[in-house]
Amino acid sequence: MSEQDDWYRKAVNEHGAALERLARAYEAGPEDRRDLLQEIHIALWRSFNGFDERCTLRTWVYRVAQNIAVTHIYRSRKTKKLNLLSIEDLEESERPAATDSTATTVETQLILVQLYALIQRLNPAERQIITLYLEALDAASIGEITGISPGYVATKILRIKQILANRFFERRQS
Amino acid sequence: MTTDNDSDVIRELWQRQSGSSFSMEPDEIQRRLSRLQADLRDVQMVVYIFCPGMAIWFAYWLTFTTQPIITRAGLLLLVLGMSFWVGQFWLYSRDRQKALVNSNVAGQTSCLEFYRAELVRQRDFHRGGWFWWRLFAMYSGLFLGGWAPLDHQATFRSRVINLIVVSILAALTVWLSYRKSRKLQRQIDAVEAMEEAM
Repeated sequence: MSEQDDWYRKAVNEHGAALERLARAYEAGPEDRRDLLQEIHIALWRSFNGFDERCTLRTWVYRVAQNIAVTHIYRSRKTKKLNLLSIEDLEESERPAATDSTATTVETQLILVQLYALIQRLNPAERQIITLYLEALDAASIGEITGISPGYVATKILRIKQILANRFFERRQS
Repeated sequence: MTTDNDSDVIRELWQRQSGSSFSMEPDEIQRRLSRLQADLRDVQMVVYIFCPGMAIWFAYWLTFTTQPIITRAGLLLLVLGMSFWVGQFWLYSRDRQKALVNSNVAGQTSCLEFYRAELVRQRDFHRGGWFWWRLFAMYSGLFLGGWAPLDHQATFRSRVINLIVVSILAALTVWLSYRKSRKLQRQIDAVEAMEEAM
């Protein structure tokens, strides 16, 4: 087994689930999502041919995955029909319909569906920040992956937190 | 504090999602890649042999089977304009493919840089030398091609209408491309601002 294969297996073991969540954040349809996921896996395996460990495995995996995902959505014609927003615009945009469901699993599903819908409306750079934030990465790590300054990432994260709290909790409390 | 707790709950929810444990074996990836490369070779064969053949036949047919010389010139320019368009599109796709095929570049390049490169590729499609040459060839071709298509039936009025229609189409193309490239430029500026901020 080659070193390339070893790195790939390690990456899938450690970050496979995160890659699936990322694919879902970029593609709503199951078939498109599967195509994207396959594309990411193929690119990832190929990329390990040039992996020199100058950055961590996690940084490498997320960079490849995010870059492939962005190219994928730009290749897709659907993107052209969407008006992609910035995080700041989301507060102004329409809010999802409220629900009075009390079943926890249903509510959880609903929150996730709304969260995916919200992410899919963001422009690529901000979509990258929010998905990495949701994977529990800190501002410095997000900055290293995306190339955005950590200070700017921190500001965006603050906005993301406010939006998530407003959208998914204040409504429920009221 | 509440905001932090609430967003932590969302983050927890996000990470708790069960996936299908999708994975691919390296052997399977290599098989798929070989198949993909074979498909690409087939497509290239079609592009390199079939398309130029079609273009030559099309140019011959347009140039030598119509009588007025001005119409021939116009139609030849039209073919030239379409060739510029196809050529530009091919270059654009090739650059994008290069970025994807060299996957290790995707690992070495930050997301913002990668995204910016994609935006620049798209912006350049809508402006620059290739764009102006294709526009010039296509619309002057349309104008000349429509100048005397009816030969003895052509009138001053029909020529004026042809001129007006072609001018409107050309102006519309310039305006739409300008608008598109401006929009992409704004996105590029926003990306650059993100790199430089703080």
